[in-house]
Order: sequence, then structure tokens, then C-alpha cells
Amino acid sequence: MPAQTRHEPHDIAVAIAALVAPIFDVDPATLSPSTRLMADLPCESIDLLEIGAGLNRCFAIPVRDAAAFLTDLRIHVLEAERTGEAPEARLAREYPHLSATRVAEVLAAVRVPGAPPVLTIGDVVAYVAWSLARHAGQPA
Amino acid sequence: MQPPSCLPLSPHRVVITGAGAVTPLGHTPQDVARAIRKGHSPFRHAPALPGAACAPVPDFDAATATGRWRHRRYLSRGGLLALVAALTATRQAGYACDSETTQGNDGTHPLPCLPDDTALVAASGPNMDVTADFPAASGRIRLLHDTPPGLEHPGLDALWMLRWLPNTAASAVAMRCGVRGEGLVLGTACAASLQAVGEAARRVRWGLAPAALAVGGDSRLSEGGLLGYARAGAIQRDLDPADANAPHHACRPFDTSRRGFVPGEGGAAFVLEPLDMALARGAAPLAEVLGMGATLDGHALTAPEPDARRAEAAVRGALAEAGLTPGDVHWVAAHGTGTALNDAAEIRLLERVFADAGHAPAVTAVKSWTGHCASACGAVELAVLLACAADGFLPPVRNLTTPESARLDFVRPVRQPRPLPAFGNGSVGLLLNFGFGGQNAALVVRL
Repeated sequence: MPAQTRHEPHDIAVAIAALVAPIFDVDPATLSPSTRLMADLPCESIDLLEIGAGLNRCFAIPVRDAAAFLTDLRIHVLEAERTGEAPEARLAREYPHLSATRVAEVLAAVRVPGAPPVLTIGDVVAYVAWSLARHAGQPA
Repeated sequence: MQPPSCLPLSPHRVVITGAGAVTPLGHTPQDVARAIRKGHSPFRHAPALPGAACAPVPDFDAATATGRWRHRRYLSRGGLLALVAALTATRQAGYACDSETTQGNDGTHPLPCLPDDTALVAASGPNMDVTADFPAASGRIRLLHDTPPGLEHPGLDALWMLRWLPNTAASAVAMRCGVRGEGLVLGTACAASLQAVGEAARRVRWGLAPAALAVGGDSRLSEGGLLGYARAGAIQRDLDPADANAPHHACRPFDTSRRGFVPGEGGAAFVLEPLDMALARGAAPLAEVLGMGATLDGHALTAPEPDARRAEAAVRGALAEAGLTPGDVHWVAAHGTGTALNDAAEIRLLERVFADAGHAPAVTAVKSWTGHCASACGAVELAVLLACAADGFLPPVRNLTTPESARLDFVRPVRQPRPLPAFGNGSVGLLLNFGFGGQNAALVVRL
């Protein structure tokens, strides 16, 4: 797919919904950027592997799972607290695709004991948009 | 598997309480029996290999058959056929398949799950659908897209290898059917699923498992599968593509004009339990599994040992385990592939075991109705025989006009089907399957 033509977040979101829906055997119309992958869908590590492979296929971008899926989120927060670094700064560095507002949301959510993983389809959309912009102009 | 606290003083009698099958003839016992009574031929020209025939499973929609289950993408076609058969068998035996069905939220009485420590014995054949994943996995796609060398293959699913692993279907069956005991995957080629039924029965017979699910599913009708058979020279390839009737006459087990086997596909599964447990919970036994025998030829990588001496040992082993003699056998479901070598060796075996001793069980060859379902053939053939037995008849050998042996009582295709010998009175049958590599399996059942 000529993914480079799909830089608008809405188009990226639609493409990701089309990619994610068959993995969970659901209707793409039921998915939105606010859909939480781990809490609203039965997403497991096996599925993140497929989503990562699908992002690579659809958008021709390298996918770093740890960043795209916030997989080490709790570790980063703990590490920041251990070293005395502001967690917001640590997350902003690890997840440059997330807005400051979203970083704050993520940080608040991860501090709730027992809360499900916060990863949303919108976070994945942001990662793809950031990655596409970063690689724009570079040879494929 | 937890070791039993003590082995039973006497072995359990083992019965089949649930059977499921997805076959070229249909997906219910009624459809299968009706198709055979009507003489319906499922054979077609093989689209991927002009000149060859095949027997596909018609109208198989995996999404409908497996229910909405997101992991079905990781199953090969054979794995899907196995899963659907296992779901049917489990439900027919009166057990719940998916955890949600046990909750009874809709007000219905919830079904029980299979007992803890139920064993799963699955037959597994190789997925030969090489055109599905291999072009993307090999350098071909990389060259086409001018991507750098390495192991980045964006065309592949992350877990594409699951379609190629021999135990993926068994894992799927365990998940969906709630099997949590010993798991065993048999790779004994075309003997595998008959052996799976026998191994499952042995575990129940000796108290090693409270119940067992035996399952097989296989399809070699893909381009890669047909290519494998074609290169091995095992299938008939000289049919006239313009002759619409040619496929119907291609599969001719035990006929002097046989020209090779015809590949089919299918899946079948059985729930096996101790007879007393089945009766105590009100289940209706469909058949009793009496004994199994399995041997190796140790002769060749493909061809059977011409005198079938080790196959005979498997037959005598199965009869010994059943506590029976050749004279007790009412009918034989032969492997009967329609290849020159298999049928010749099998005729020698059957003549020695039965005709030389003055016995004349009816001999049939189910592959003449289903094609050769590879590693699933034994389970599919048992399912077809159960379906026909429930309707009171034995399936004839299709296309048998000039039998190669006059000393065996082949079930000939005539206007009225042959009634099941000893119907309703403990009809004893012997099933045979042999596989590449000299794998031999024999199973004795009572219907």
C-alpha cells in the first residue's frame, strides 16, 4: 500500500482500525482512537506482534514495539522515580509521539493500582504519524 | 497428566460418545450416509493440477464453522477441519466447548466441561500449502520490492509460523474444547489419526485419563500439496480435463485398473470414555474401541513392504488387544488407496489373515468415497463408517468392477447397499491405515 499518501491522522486511524479489526474479529466501525487495546479488546502480546507487523506492512515504517505499544511504561515511571527524574520528562523522551496532555493522562492512569494498560488506538495512530513525519523525505 | 493413584485391576471398556466429521460427503452422519446411499461422488478435477482429480470438502466456511474466533487465522486448512470436527464431537458427547457456554447466562442448563485430565491425541500432517507463506518468507518478494537483505519480511504475519507447527491445531482444540490433560501429537503420516484413536482409547482403557479426545484434520489440495504427490508419482494425472466424468472414475481401490490415489481432505474427532462413566451420565455410546496395533515396516521411505508382514503384525496386535481372532471380524475397512503397491500388499495381508484361515469378512475401502485424507484418513473413515452403520449398511467400494483378488469379499457397488454384518448385534470391524515411511496402524471396533 502506498502508505506515504496517508499522513492525515484520520486516515491513519481508519487504516489502523482496518488493520486491527480482523485480528480481533470485530467490525472496524466499532473501533475509534479512544478504544483501549488491552481493556476494551482482548489484546494479548501475540496480538501486539501482529499489529506491529501490520503497521510495518501498511505504512512502511520501522516499528519499535516498546514505544508504539508503551510496553515498558511502568518500568520507565519506576526508573524515573528511582533516579529522581520527573516522570513526565522521562515519558516525553521515551514516547516522543505522545502530546504533553496524553503523557499526563497516561501517567495519572498508570498510578492507579490495578488499572488496565492505558494503550489506545489513538496512541498507535500518534506513533505512526510521528514515525511517518520523521521518515518523510528519506529514501524508502 | 497426573499418574493415577492406582491402575485399574481390570481395564475399562472404552466407548465413543461423541463424533464429529467434516468430509467431502458432508458434515453430519445423516448427510454422509445419504450421499453414499445415493451414490454421490465428491470427486472433481483438481484446478491446480490438470489431469488430476481431488475430493474437496464443499461449502466449508471457516468463520461460520469455528464460530467467531480470532485465532483461526493461525490454523492451516487441515487445522481448521480438525478444530471444527473436535467442536462437533465434544458437543455431541454432551460437553461444553467454550468457557462462556458453561456459564448458562441465557437460562439454559449449563453443559459440563470435559473432565479434568482429559487427554488429547491429535494426528498432524505437514502443511504443504507452500504458496501461502513461502514466497513472502523467501527472497522472492524482497527482490521484487528492492528491500535490503535480512529477515524483515513485511508481507508475513508476525506469527505465520503457527500455520506450520505440528501442534497448533491441537493447541486450538485444547483451547476451544477445554482439554487440559496429556497432549500428544502423532506424526505417523497416513496412519496417524487411526493411531490417535487407538492411543486415546488405551489411555482411557488403563485409567491414565478419565476421557480422551482423538482428532485428525488434513488437506493436501493446495498447489504445494498436489505438487508433492505429483512429483512422487503417487496420484493419477492423465485424466482428460474436458471429460467431466473422468474424476468420478479415478479412484479405484482394489480394481485391476487402478491408477493411483485421489487426494481428499477432511477432519474427524471422537470423544472416548469408559463405558460405565458414559452410561452413568446418560451418554449414548456410538461404538466401542476394542484394540489397536501399530508397527513399522523398517523397509522404505515411501513404498510399503510388499508382503505387508509388519502391517499384518499390527492387525494381529490389534486383535490380540481386543481379545479376538480373525474369525470374529465381520468387516474390514481397508486402507485401499488405489495405488498399485498399496493395494497389492494389502490384498496379500488380508488373504493371509482371513482367506487362508477360511474367514471372509466384508471388505470395503472408504477412500473410494472421500479420497485420501492423508493423516486424517483413519479418523474420517471411522466417522464415515459410523454414519453408515447408524443407517444399517456398509459402504461399497466405488468403481470396483474387476477385483484384483477373488478370495476377498469386497463390498461391491450394487443397487441395494450391503447391510452391516451383525447389525445391532455387536458388529466387529477392523480398520487399517498405512503411511509413508512404513507406518502401519490397525484398529478394532464394535458397532
